[in-house]
Amino acid sequence: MNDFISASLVINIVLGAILGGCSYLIYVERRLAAFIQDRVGPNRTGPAGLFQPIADGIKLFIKEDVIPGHVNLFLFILGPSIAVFTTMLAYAVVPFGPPDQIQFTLMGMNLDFRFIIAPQIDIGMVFIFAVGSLAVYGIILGGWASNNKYSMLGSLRASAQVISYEIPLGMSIVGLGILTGSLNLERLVLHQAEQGFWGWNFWAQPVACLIFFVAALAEANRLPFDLSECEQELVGGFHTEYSSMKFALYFLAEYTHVILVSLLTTLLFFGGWQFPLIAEVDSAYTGSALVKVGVLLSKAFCVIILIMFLRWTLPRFRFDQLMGLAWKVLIPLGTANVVMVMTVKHFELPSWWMFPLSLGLVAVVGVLSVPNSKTRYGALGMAGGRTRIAADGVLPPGLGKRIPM
Amino acid sequence: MDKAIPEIAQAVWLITPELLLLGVVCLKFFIGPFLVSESGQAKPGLEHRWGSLALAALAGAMWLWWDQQVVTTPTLGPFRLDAITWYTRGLMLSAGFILVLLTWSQSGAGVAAESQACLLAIVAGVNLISAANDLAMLFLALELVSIPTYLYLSLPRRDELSQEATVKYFLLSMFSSAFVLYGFSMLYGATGTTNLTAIQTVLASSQSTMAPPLVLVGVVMVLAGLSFRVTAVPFHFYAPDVFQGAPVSGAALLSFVPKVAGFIALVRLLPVDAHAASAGLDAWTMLKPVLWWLAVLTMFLGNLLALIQTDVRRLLAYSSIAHAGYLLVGLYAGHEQRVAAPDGIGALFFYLPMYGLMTLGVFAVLAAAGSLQKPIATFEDLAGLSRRHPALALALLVLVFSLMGLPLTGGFLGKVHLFWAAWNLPGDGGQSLAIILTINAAIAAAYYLKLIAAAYFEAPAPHWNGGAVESSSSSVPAAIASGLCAALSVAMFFSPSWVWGLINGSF
Amino acid sequence: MIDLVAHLLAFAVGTVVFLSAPLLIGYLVRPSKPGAEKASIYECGEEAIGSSNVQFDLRFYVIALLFVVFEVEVVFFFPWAVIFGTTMQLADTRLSDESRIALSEHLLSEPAGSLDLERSISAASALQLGWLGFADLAVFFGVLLLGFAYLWKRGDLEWVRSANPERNLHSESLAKPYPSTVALGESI
Repeated sequence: MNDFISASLVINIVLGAILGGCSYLIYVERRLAAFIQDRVGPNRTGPAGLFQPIADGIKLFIKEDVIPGHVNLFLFILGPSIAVFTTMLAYAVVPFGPPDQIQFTLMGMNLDFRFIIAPQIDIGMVFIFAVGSLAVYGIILGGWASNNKYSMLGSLRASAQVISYEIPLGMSIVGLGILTGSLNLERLVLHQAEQGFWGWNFWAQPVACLIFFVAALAEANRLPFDLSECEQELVGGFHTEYSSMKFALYFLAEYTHVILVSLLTTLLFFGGWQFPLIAEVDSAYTGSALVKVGVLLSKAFCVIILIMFLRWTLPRFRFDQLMGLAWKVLIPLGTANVVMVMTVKHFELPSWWMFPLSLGLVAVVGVLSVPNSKTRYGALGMAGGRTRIAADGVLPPGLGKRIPM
Repeated sequence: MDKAIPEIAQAVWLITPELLLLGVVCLKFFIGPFLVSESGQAKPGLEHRWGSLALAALAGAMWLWWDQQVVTTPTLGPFRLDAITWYTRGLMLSAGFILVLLTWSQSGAGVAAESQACLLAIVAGVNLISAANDLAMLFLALELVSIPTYLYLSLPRRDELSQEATVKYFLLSMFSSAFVLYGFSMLYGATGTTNLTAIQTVLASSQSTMAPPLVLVGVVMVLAGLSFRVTAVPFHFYAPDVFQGAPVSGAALLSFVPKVAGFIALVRLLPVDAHAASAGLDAWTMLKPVLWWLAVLTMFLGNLLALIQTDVRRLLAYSSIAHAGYLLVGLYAGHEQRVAAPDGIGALFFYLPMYGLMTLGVFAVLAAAGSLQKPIATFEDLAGLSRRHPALALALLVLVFSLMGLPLTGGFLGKVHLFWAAWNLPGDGGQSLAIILTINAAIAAAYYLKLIAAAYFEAPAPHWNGGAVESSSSSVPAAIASGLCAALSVAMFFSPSWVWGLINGSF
Repeated sequence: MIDLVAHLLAFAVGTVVFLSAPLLIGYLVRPSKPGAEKASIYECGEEAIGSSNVQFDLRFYVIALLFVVFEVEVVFFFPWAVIFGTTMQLADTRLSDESRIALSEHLLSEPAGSLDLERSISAASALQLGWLGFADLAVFFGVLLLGFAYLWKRGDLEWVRSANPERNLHSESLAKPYPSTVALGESI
């Protein structure tokens, strides 16, 4: 019984934090966008516009929910629900604090509080990938059920993009598995924390970190990878026909995904709750657990801010560049990274070897990607500069695919 | 733990011939695309280089095979090398030579690398089926046969008929793979291990004389899945369409290689040894009626439907179905200690190389007499072959006699062995099967003679102007293959001890 | 195990409740004024022409096929990586006895405390297993990269590929009306 209560306590905290976090992230993003574009941003509702998310929420509740007559109703409702549900489910194995158990008494009951919903799952990362890859159903079902051409095209693009980037995403984790000998997220963090600041996986696996971050952004359909909903071409992409709360669910899914990506980047590559001097493995002062949670969340917040800056800094990819990046750059790079880690571990070289070797890998890929001035294509076959493609993807016969401009 | 690691590491030395073949496959897939232009065109003459490389690879694999010692002690590793493995390797590597020659003449320069590579992968796959000592490995080996087969069928020609045939084979083959996989998972569930040796031990040590239902369901599913490979009725229906649509080399491959794969897998999986079966389980006695009906239906349906065919390739498809029935007779007879040699499995293993020679030979004649774009399709296309190509017609004559089972050819000995293996079985089932086998051989003579009649007694059709006259250089390898098959078919009649040496694991 | 499943189930149920609550409350609160205009397909004010279930480009299908192949390979990497990583830790002779026992238990899926130093994996046999894993994955990577190189060279990874008439099988017959000297501006 006590177990059940403490479990439901954790679950409520996590769900509440995600929902609250998402709504305030939208506020943060709007303020940040305003700052970058030299505007003011939302500032009327409450002090500094702080009540804006609440007003938005109320608006979404009481807006009419238009369900067009031509949709497949069941799948139409199922789509956004799956999108949010699968993204949320991944949080089950994400630790949001140190592995300590905190014991306290609440209304006469002794409760064990842990900073994770399902502790000690050895397949942690695999679970996240498995659940995360179901998210593509949310998008493709929503797009297909809308019975709208924009939605259909958006969901097709999104599915191709999401499945393509899933491969480098998985490959970037393999190196960590070799280094740690486990895919359990708690062990992954502990392994870094035990070795201190220079033991963060980022120092051994900078390439994997980059691949993971880029691929995860693409999975979340964030700019510069938001081809599934690019306003200029597809109105709203797969959610063109959605309104009111169901529209909000898609947005909820996107922001939940952003938080997840930031948390995972922090946990996997930046030492999780570990921070020199104030939050080490053996710090045992009162409230140290809460400090560790704070450290973890601050790190994750930094990553979120980075993602938002990226959104307002980089232009959107073209679709062939998007696919080329996944298949011709990230996948070979991820493979080379795994081979590199394997070799270093197998011949028991010191771990610091991995940092220069990783930089070397990036340099090689960079050199190969520099476009040839004549063909506008790099050695990896990625298009640099402008390449002309007919709108419908079909060029008249007699024209090759590489058109010098 | 300390014992398991060396055993896994040692397993690699048991499959060196396959490793060589697969290495060459990798080489071909790696270099192949670099020698072909972006539009899929290549310098003419490239196919000669790839063909020679394939022959060299087969010769190398054969040398390695010859060097290997048969290991009789059962292991818990993923591979084994017993007499059956040794026999299959010898059979498939020899058949590989003929198939390479056929492919040589049937694939253009642009796809030669891929075609030959697929062929070598298929040969390696069949060998691995016989070497597998583990359900997972066995399934992988089966897929190593079927997946390159899809490619092999679709590569040479890109017309609608060929694509349709490939897609048909692809879908149904997937279906049968799923059946086999279901069966394997049942066997795994019933015994708790995927190792074939361990499965036999578990089943033999079980207390009851009845097979557990799970094992029976599993075995029946495996039988259904593999029946597709050997084209046994009722899993035969794809064969005529696919044989008709596929290029001649593809039809030749389909008529022989999946049968070897299927029968070797069946011999490995079914408790064919009556002695071992009596030790624990009743599964074999339960399966026997199923096999009896499978054999009878396959023989009758194949032969009767072949009678009414007008397309040569469809006729050969039904003929290959009928031969699957003959081979099932051998499987039905099984290992029987009380019977004077050869027993059913021995006769089956003797008939496989005979059948390989005659069916591959006939297809080689078709390949040599026609061309890739204008294959021999009807009896009119075959008419007057004796005047256009007397040598090819003679080869066809010998090979068709072998298919009919006439004396002075290996086919005769093969049928005789099958007949006696069935006839000597205790009980009525065997003798009735032997008689049905004879009746079917007589029916088959009718349609085989139509081939001879067309080639020898009919004047060439006036509209026929394609074929080997124009593309003489590409049909040379196929002509060599057909001559080789015809000569060997006769030679086998006079010195069958070669084959028996192969079967018994030593010369 | 039951405990874990219960946790996951509770979380799943909680998520469903958190999701359906706003949908349900919204359903009770919000107005509903359907109309013919609202029920029509959104096409920026135009009447939609034809069904939206259009034939889509074959390239999406090719991507899906490639995905299946590579995803399966990645899935094979995960258990390999964990075992190889643990093995290489065990192969270190400086490892303390307690961690050696703990790691061996983890690798052999034995319950904690069931192994002693005698029966745990020695550094020598771990190194042997490490070599085996290294060789296995070297071959696996070799074959994987070979297939990748084949795809790349054939142009299957290029998104604009099917626009290229050179690869078209009937290129000769199609290309005839368009001599190769046609200028770019004229033909588009």
